[in-house]
Amino acid sequence: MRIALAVLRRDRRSQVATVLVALGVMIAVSLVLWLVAAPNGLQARADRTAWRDVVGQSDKGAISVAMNRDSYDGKLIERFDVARNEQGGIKVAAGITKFPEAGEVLLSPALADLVRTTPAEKLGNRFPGRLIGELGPEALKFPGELVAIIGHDKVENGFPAPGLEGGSGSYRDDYHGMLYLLTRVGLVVLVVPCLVLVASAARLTAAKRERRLAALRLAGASPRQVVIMTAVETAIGAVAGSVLGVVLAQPFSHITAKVPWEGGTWYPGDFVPAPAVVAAVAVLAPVLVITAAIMGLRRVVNRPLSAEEKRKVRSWRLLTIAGAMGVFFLGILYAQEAGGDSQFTVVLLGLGAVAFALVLAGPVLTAWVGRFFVGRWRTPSTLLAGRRLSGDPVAAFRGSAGVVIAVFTGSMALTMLPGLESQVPYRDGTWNENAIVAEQVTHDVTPLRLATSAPIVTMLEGKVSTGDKSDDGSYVIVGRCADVAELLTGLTCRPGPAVYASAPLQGDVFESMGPHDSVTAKLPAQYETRPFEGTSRVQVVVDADLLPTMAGKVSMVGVPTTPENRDAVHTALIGTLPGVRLVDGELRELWGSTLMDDLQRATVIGLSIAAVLGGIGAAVSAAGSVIDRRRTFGALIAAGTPIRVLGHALRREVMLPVFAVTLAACGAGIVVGLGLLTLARGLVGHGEMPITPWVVAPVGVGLVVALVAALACGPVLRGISPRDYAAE
Amino acid sequence: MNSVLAARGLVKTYGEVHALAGVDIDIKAGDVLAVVGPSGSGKTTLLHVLSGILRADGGEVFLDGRAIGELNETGRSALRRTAFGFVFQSGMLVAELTAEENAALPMLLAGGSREESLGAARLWLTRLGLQGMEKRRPGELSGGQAQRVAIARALAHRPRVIFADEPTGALDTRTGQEMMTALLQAAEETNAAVVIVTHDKAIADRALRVVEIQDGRIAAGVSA
Repeated sequence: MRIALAVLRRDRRSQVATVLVALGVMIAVSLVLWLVAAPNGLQARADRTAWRDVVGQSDKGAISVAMNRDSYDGKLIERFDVARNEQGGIKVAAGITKFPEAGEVLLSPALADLVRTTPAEKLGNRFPGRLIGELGPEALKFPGELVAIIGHDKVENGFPAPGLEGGSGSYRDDYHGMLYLLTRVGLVVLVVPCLVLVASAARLTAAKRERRLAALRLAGASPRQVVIMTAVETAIGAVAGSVLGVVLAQPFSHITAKVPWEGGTWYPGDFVPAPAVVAAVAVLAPVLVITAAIMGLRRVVNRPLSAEEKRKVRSWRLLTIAGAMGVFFLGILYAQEAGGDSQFTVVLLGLGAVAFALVLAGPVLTAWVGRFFVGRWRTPSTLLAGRRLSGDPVAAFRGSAGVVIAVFTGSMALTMLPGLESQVPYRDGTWNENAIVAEQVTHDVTPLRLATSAPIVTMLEGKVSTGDKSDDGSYVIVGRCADVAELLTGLTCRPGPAVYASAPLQGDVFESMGPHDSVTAKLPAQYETRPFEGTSRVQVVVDADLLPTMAGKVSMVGVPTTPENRDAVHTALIGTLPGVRLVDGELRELWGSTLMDDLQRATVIGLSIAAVLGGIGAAVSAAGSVIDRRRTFGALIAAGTPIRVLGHALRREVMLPVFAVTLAACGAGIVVGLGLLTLARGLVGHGEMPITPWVVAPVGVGLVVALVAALACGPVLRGISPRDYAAE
Repeated sequence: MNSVLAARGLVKTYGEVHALAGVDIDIKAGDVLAVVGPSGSGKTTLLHVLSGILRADGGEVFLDGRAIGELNETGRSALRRTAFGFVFQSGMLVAELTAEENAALPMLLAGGSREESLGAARLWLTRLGLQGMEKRRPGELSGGQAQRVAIARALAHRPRVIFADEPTGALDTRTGQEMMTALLQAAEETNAAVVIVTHDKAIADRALRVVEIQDGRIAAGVSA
C-alpha cells in the first residue's frame, strides 16, 4: 500500500489518471442516480394524483365524478365535476382541503391565478360556484398544473367513486407504461457509455502500471501484494468520484426537475432516489471499478513476463450478437404474454445483452477492419492504424464502445419515434377545425342557448341495423344535414331529406345510443342515399327529417366557432353542460403534441448524454493510448516522423473501428427498436411501424463525435517530446 | 571544412545546470565517434543537439557546412528522417509493425512507395542476418534481433549520420558486440558517420574516435 501511495504522490501521469477515474466515476454515479430516480419521479406524480384513479372502479360510491380534459390558451386543464351521492364524511387526499359541495369550487393555484386574470366568459364561467380554496402541491402532478374540482347537486355521466382519497398510484399503464419503458431503456443504454468512460480512465496509465507491477512481481511481490497495490491505486480515484457523484446528484436532480414532462416540470423532491439505492450505487460503482482493474491484472499476476503480450480476439464473439438478439426477442414474446414488472425486466435484460454483445463483438470487427487496411495501405498513417487495429483490437476498440452504444441507442430511438408518433392521439379529422363537439349529452340545452349566441347544432347518435340482435349495424348520426355539415368534415348537403353514406344502409331500424335510455324508430321505406365518404369515426349521417319521432332527442351538441368566440363557446359548453366530454381538435392536438414533445425531448436528452459520454470515453481512451505509447512516439518523432502523420494515424485508429462497428450497431438498433415498438404498440393497442432514412443518421453523428474525440490526441501528441523515448 | 557534421561552441542549459558548456566537434563521413562520460555529464544532450532534436542555446551545428539551427521544427524533422538515422536503446520499434515495416518506416515517411520502401527494408534485414524474420513483430524477436531491425531502420534510407543512444544498453555483452559489428559494417558500406553515446567501455573501444564529456565539456578526445 505504501508503494501505491508513493507512486501516486510522485508520478504525474498516475495523478492525472486518478483524477480522470474520479471524474469518470463521478459522472457515472450521478447519471445512474439520476436515471434510477426518474421512475421515482413518475411514481411521485402518480402517488400525488392517486385520488384521480379511484373514479369508476366500483358500481356504487359515495360520490359521482366526471373527469374531463379541457384547455385554455394552449394549456391543458384537468377538470373534475363531482357530486355527493350520500350523506356523511367524504374522504379526500392530502392537498384537497375539503370535498366541494354543490356550488363550491377548488382550483389549483395556477388555475386560480389564470381565472383571476382572464375575463369570466372566457374561462372563469367554466367553473361555476364559490372558490373555497386552492389545491395543495400534494394533490397536483406538477407545479403549475391547471386542475379544477367543481361541486354539483348531480353530475350527468358521472362515475361512482368512494371519495377523492389518495394512496399509491400506478404510472405503468397506457402511455405512462411506454414512458416507464423508455426510462428503463435509457438506464440500460446510458450505463454502458458510463462504464466505458470509467474503464477508459482506469486504463489511462494501464500499460505503465502493468510494466511496473510485472517488475514488482519479478522482484518477488506476491500476487496478493500486487492486487492490493492496484486496488489502492484505483480505489482512491473511484471512492472520491463516487462521493462526488452522490453530492453532484443533488443539484443534478434540481436541474432535471426543470425539464417538462406531460405538460409540466417537477417538484425537486420527485427526483430523489431512495437512500438504500444511493448507498448501493455509491458502494457498487467503486467496487466495480476496482474489480475491473484487478481483473485486468490477471496476466501480470499469473505470468509476470507476459505484460507486453497483446490479447487475441476470437470470432465466436460475433455469435454473441445473434444470441443476444435471440434473448431480446424471446423477452419481447414473453413480455407480450406476461404482465407486471417482469415483462419490462425480461426485455431490458435482452436489451442489455444486445448492448453487451455489441461491445464484445466490436474488437472482432475492429480486427477485420485492421486486416483490410493492412493489406491495402499506401501511406504510413494507414499502415500504423491498420496494424494497431489488427494487432490489439481490444485496446483499439475500447474507446469506441461508448460511441457505438450511442449510435445503437440513436438508431433504436429514431426507429421508434415515428412509430410512437403514430400512437399518439392527434386530431383524427372527424370534425372541422373550428368545431367544438360535446358528447354524452343528457342535459337540457336551453341554458347553453342562453349562454352563447353561437349556432347550436344538436345531434343524436345511434345505429341502423336489420333489427336482428346479431347485427351490429352501422354507426350513424342523426341531425339536420345543413347544420351537421358545419361541423363534420367532408359532408356536402343537398335540399331534401336523405341518408349520406358511401353505400346504402343494410336495414331500416334505428336505435339511439348514448348515456340516456335507448329509443328506436324506423327509417322510411324509400329514401335517397347520397354520397359521403365519411371519416374515421362517422361514416353515415341520417337527415333528421327521415326520423321525425326522434325530434328533440339529443346526445351530442356541436358549435361551429370563430377564433374570437372560441374560448367563450368552450366556456359556455362546459359551464352549462357539466360532465360532458368535449371533442375539440385543438385540445386533442395539444395533448398529442405534449406527449410527442416529451418523447422527443427525452430522446434528445438521452442521446446527447450518450453521445457526450461516448465522446469523452473515446477521447480519454485515445489520449490514454498516446500516453501508453509515449516512448514509441517519442522515438518516432526523434527520428523525424512528422506529428501530422502520427495524428493522422491516431485519428484513423479511432475512426475506422467506429465506422465499422457503428454500422452493425445501427442495424442492431433498428431491429431492437422495431422490437420495442411492437411492445409499445401492445401497450397502447395501435400504431404504425414506419422506418425513415433518418435511422442511419446516428452513424454520421457517431463518426463526428469520434472525430472530435480523436482530435483530443492532438494536444497529448504535441506534448510528447522527441526526448521521451528515453523516459521511463 | 570536409566534416559531414560539425559543432562550434555548443551551449545548452537546463535552469542552473550547464548540460553543454562550449562543445566543438567535427565528424567526417565514415567516422565512428563514441561519446562517453558519467551519468548526467551531457553526452545524451550532445547527441540530441547534434541531431537537431534539441536546439542549442548557444553555438551552432553544421551539416555539410549548412547551419541547422536556422531550421524550424518542421525542417529539422525532415532533416532527421532524411539525413540522419537513429538507433535507440531497446530498439524502440513500433510494437504493432512487422520487422520489415519498421525498417521501411523512415522511407515511407519520406514519401517512398510501399514496394520500394519494403524492398529496401528486406534487403537490409537480409544483410543484417534477419532473413525469414521480416514478418515478425518486435515482441517475437530477441533483444539482439530487435536491435538489428533498428539498425536496418536507421540505414535503409542511406543517412549521412547515424546516431546511436546506448544501443547496447539492453543487451548482454556478447549480443552487444555482435550488434556493434553489424552496425559498424553497415555504416561502412554506406560511408555513413556514426555517433554512439555509451558508458560501456568495450563498446566505446570499437569506435575510431572517443570523446569524453564531463560537466558539459569535452574532457578528452582520443583518436583511434
